[in-house]
Amino acid sequence: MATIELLEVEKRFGDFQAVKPLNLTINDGEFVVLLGPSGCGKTTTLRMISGLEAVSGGTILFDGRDVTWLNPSERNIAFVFQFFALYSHMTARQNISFPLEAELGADIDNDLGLGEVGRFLSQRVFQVFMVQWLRRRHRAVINQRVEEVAQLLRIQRLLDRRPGVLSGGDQQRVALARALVREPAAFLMDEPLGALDAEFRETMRAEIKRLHIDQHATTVYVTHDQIEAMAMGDRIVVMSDAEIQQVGTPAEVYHDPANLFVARFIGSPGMSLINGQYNGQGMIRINEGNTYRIPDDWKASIERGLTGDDGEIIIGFRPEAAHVNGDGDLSARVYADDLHGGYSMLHLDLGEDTIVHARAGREMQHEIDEALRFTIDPASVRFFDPRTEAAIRKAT
Amino acid sequence: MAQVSKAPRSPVLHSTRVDKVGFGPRLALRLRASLVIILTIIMLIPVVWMGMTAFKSRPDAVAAPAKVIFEPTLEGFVSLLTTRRQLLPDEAEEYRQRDDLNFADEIALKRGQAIIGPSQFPKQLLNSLIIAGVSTIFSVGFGVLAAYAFSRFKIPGEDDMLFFILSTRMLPPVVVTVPVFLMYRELGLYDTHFGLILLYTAFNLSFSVWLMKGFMDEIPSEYEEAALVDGYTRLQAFRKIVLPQAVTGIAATTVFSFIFAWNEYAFALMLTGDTARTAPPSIPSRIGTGGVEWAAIAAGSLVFLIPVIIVTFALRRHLLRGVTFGAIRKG
Repeated sequence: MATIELLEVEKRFGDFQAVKPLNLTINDGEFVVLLGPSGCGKTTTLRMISGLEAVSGGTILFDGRDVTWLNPSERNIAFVFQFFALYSHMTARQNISFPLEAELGADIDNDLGLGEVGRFLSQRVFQVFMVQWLRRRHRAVINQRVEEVAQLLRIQRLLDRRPGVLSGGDQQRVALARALVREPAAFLMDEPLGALDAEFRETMRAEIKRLHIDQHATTVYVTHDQIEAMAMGDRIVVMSDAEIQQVGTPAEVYHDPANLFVARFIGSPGMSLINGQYNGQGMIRINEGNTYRIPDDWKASIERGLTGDDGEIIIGFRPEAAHVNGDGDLSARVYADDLHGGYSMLHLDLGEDTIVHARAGREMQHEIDEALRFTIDPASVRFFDPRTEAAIRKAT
Repeated sequence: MAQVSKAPRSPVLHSTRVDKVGFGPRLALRLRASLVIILTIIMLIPVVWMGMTAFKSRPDAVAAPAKVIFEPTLEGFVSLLTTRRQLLPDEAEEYRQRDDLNFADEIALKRGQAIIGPSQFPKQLLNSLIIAGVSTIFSVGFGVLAAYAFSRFKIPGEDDMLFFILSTRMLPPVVVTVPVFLMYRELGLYDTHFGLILLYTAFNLSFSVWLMKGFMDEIPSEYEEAALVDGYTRLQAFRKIVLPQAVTGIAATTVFSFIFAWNEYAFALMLTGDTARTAPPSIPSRIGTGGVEWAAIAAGSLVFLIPVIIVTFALRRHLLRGVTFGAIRKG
């Protein structure tokens, strides 16, 4: 297992900047998720780590060793592809043992303990006898290792089938087994669950997470699904427009988004955002009927943090931070009410096309266009500067 | 009140689509099937006729009106594979008395001829096999490698090069026979196997590069990338992953290249003498002492068809999938 460091790594395709220079350290044994919308450069970043894509600039270190210009085969990594990339002309067993076969050739040379000249001779003279014998010995080791991995992923009974006849989930298990079989320095996964049905995805998500906990392998996982990222990652790297927007634990990116992009992208639905104007006296005017009182502990930070002098500001909060009650300080009309099983999601219209989301108990019934009042939990409210799009940090 | 439709009692083996089970569509289907069968028969008539002629005697072969029912004989094959001498009447009588004649001699004798040796045809057939086979191996081999490079790597001027390769096909090959003949004579390639192999490889290469590039593009590059991260070099990945995946395309390309090289007539006629002469130019030139030997020509054509049929049948399974393209399953 290894620590992966990216130093000023960037990628250009002609004039197009696919990845702007970025710095990132992935610690030994960590599960890091690269999250972002399609085209944000997350897959390119992963492919640069793997060596399948050459960097346009910067340095990649594995455990302090510079691997920037090493071939993929020399980096000792395992890659899991979105469409599994199983070899359809081989059985599951042959697919899984394929990476080990690559090592076999090198191992035989090492076992013979011969130098260049000796190797040349061995290939001519002893080859037939020695290599056959060693090959058999290694074959036994390989078979044993394949069985172990198959057991880990519970696919022993599928080993002699071709990938074409396996279900999507089983194909992905075989692909994972192929990655696991060779105890690599790091696992790189490119949307491995993207091609699966919703039902399988849940199961496999848990399986991959469990595998990571058992194996404790450094893993870099690319996805555009923020639920997947929240569920699996030790840390999430949110990317957009070819650069990193925020790096943090799932809780950090959820509760303390660094900017408006992260606030909107994380969560389902994303953070509710209300445009308003700060009046300098602890109040934000939203529109005719609504004025929001800033919690006392935020006042100083906001006054310091706002860059413009017209007081433009954005209030942000998560659905569960909004509470509907009769004497709330904000008024709105019910735009829609979705029942989500355990709770219902209220879409509230504050006027001027501002829709916010509030989570409410499922036992409460709300009519469409009903007027109601709600409050925002002062501990969970966040503020953003519309000019820089960055979050305003709370002074501690 | 809507009725609940019942599940069929027996398994449904025919299509149940509305546009397929109605009377009109079914009639149309029958008509189309009949048309295909009729067309197949029409197309097969020359081949069948050729097969029949190969077993006809000389008078039967040229009989008018044409004979459909006739007494089969191996006369055509005997004259194809042997050289003979016309016997004088008393010589023939003497020959008839001899009892050391094998069945080929007997057949020749019926026409008053004696076999004096084998013909050039087996050698020419062998030449055809060597030249078509080797040039197919070369053109498919180089074609696969070039197509892989074009498909996977960014090559400066890639499109121009592909166009350039195709441009060798933009005029009838026959146009260049005379210059090629002059060049070959200078280079000492006239009437050599290598000369024809070189030429056929060059002509087939453009075709095989283009055809194979289509197939290579179909193979997801993730396959090799998986092998690359698993510790294989580019060439190993190509051999172990790409080649097995491309087998359909290779089969299709092989058949087409082989048929071209096997059937080529103009260059073979112009650029070969006795040594490297292939079968196509030699078959129609079997003019015996008494005119055109139709039975021998038909017999030669029949024998000539066999290798192509074998190659095509051997690769048929791949070929059918291959010519429809898009047949490579992902994952």
